[in-house]
Amino acid sequence: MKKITINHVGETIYYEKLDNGMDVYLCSKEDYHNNYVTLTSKFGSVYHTFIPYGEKKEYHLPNGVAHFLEHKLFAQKEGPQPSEFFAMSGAIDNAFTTFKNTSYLFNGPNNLKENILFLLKYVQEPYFTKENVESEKGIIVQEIHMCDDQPEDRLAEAIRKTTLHNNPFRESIIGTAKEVNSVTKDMLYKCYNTFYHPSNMFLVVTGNFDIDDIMEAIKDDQRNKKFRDSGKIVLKEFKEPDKVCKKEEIINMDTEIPKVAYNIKIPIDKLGLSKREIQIYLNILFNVLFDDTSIAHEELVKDKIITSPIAVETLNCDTHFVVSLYNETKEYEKLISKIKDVLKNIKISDKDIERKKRVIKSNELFAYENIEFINDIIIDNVVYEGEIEDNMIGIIDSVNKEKMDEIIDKIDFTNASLVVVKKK
Amino acid sequence: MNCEQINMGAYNLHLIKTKKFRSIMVDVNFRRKITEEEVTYRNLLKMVLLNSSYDYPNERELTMATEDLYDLKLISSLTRYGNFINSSFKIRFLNEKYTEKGMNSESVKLLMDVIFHPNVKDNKFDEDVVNLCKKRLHKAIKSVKDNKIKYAQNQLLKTIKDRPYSYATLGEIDILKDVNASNLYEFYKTMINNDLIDIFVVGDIDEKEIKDIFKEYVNARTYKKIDTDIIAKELVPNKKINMLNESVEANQTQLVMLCSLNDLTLKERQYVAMVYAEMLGGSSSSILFNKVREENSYCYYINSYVKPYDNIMLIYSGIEGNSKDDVIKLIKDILNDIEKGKFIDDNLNNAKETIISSITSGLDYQNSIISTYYAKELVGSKDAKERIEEFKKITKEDVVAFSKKVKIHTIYTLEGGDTDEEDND
Repeated sequence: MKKITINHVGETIYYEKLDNGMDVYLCSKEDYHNNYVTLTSKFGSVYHTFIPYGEKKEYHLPNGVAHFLEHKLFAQKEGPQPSEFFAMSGAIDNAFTTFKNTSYLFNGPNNLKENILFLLKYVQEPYFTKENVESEKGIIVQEIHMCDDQPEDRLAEAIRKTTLHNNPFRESIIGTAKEVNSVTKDMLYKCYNTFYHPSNMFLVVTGNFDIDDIMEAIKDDQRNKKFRDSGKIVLKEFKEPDKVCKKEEIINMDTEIPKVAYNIKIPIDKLGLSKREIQIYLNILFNVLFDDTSIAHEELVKDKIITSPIAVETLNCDTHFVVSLYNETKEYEKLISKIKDVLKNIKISDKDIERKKRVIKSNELFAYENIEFINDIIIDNVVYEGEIEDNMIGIIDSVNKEKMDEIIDKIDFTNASLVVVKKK
Repeated sequence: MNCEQINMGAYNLHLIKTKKFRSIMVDVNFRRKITEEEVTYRNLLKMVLLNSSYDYPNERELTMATEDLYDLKLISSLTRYGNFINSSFKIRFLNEKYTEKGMNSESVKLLMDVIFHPNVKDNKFDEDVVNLCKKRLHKAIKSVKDNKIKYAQNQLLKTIKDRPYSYATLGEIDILKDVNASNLYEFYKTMINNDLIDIFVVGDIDEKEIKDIFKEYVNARTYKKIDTDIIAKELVPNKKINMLNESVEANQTQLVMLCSLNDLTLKERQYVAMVYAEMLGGSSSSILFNKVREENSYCYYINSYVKPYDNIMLIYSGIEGNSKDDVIKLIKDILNDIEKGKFIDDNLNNAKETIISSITSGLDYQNSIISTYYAKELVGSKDAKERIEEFKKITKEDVVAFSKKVKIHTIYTLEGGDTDEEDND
């Protein structure tokens, strides 16, 4: 078992790679009561074109299959269904699908060992039938309708559609009703067999428990299960142009106040820094320029163009970052022209940078108070970087004005799309 | 973890000392009997107070000050507990052991400053700040409709007159129009002077230091306060269910059912009601989830929650418009079955275990620790251990007896289905 100590934060994460290839991360905190457990497959919506395990030809999925698979893994051939099993000890179960991963989880203070083993069991024993695949379609269509009725969700979809060309982050995670209706049992098995091998999965346990005891139970369980060889995952490669795909998109739907996002597309390979470093620099830069501590905010409020602060969101799409500046206002044209002006003549001081560094560092400490957030941090690290970063605070500390100026020079701030959601 | 309660004259101080957290939370609560007008005032007031203070006269300076205090979180919220409306102003900040000496008192002083030393001149708040916050609140009220799930519940509750839960949670635009920098300041003074005040501190704190800060800053002077009964007046059960609907431009239809609860005993209010609602529609192991979603694929979400101090329960789901009648019938059948005792022991036991787990895991969060101790103050509820024992004792007979007091009062549908099926490819 490897011991990873998170510098400055003082938490320890224990790590081991099992014989079948699965990675296990454990973090225990004294005095806590609850436990939070996630089992993640590194399969999300972006892996839509690949060579299925045991086959030779490339296969293309409609949108929404990773998410559909997530729903259907809950189906059990016999015995209690997952929700029933977990509820017996008062644990709550759930699952979520994102771009690069699908995670199955539960949280609860009791019965930890048995619950972990059950989580492994149900995820490792798929049971897809023609009937249970069909009956899920109505449920997912309702989920799609729920998302389509939310202006923020429509905006987020359009942000990716306008900025990206070929990058699979462009596509919807949940898919459309038509796509979901085309999903078959065979499709789900192809995905499962290719992406749910233990060597493409990892388990994260955070809470309050005996590290050795839990690690031993997991190893024991996995040692006694038979898996085929891991196989190599072959994905279709893509080339993503640096320019945005579409300059502007207006979506009409029933919403009282227009929602607007200005989205800057930034290539990763030209900045000469790691993705993590870039993310911190971009976070600091755009917040200094636009959040409620910025001069721009003060002026926009004074000129009655916005009432609430601009929100800054960063999406890491592997090849590019998309930074979105979001607000709700009828005066969105004036807002965009102000944003463009600010970006033409960027001013950022040492003092601003130091203040934001303090903010980011503090939030690292806040996060480690919460076992769910610790679990999230580990998932994010493993999915996006393949390992745990033990010196996040050190990276934040190394941020400096000189490097910031270099990055600002390299970014084309006019390479952006505008998305508006408003009433017809 | 134990809680020391200190009567400070004009307010109660609750000190919860624990080394478990790296951060410290301080939560100052003001409450009194709700009126419709006041909901709007309080919503606006919390925005105005959090926007700036006397020492930090604009939003930018105040936010920068919180960032300098190691990103201190400054949060305000408005909650209703039965007949009470409650304004909470709180901070969460890193214990100075992890930052630098003196930060604990600096942080608490900032909160005191925000609440008791606002940006006021000539007996009124700053006009620009009030106008900006009025616009923000106006926008927030208008945007409620963006969230159809919430909007549908609000629309239904609005139809019930003369109950604390019928007032829109963000307030009313008509009332907001008449609020200005002077009358809001008058309202502020009544809140500081007339409300019941409870202050909670959770964390590894120096008791004397924090008490001294409160003594210096808490500027509440009135010692005679009017308490009120927290329990809202019951609804008269409807002989015939009231059916209401409204149309919107949306894909989904929102179904909301309001149930009246009558003649609850103390035990039912504090324990059985929660078990019933959890068993019915609390989570993915609930009866509604299994029957309506898993067995019949009618919906993605279906939930129920109970408001024991309002004497009501709500059931809500997002469905296809044309399955409305079938879903309503199915839910009615489910409620009837429970009344007849037609449910398995697992349903009941799972619900009890889920509630017990959430009480236990609540001890990991400062917010729920405060809620637990506040509930003690508000309704005399017991501590975590005793509550767990009480929940364990709930029987099937208890649930069946309670279920006979649940009557569907109104069924509301927010009907969608007008938009074309979107296909983005």
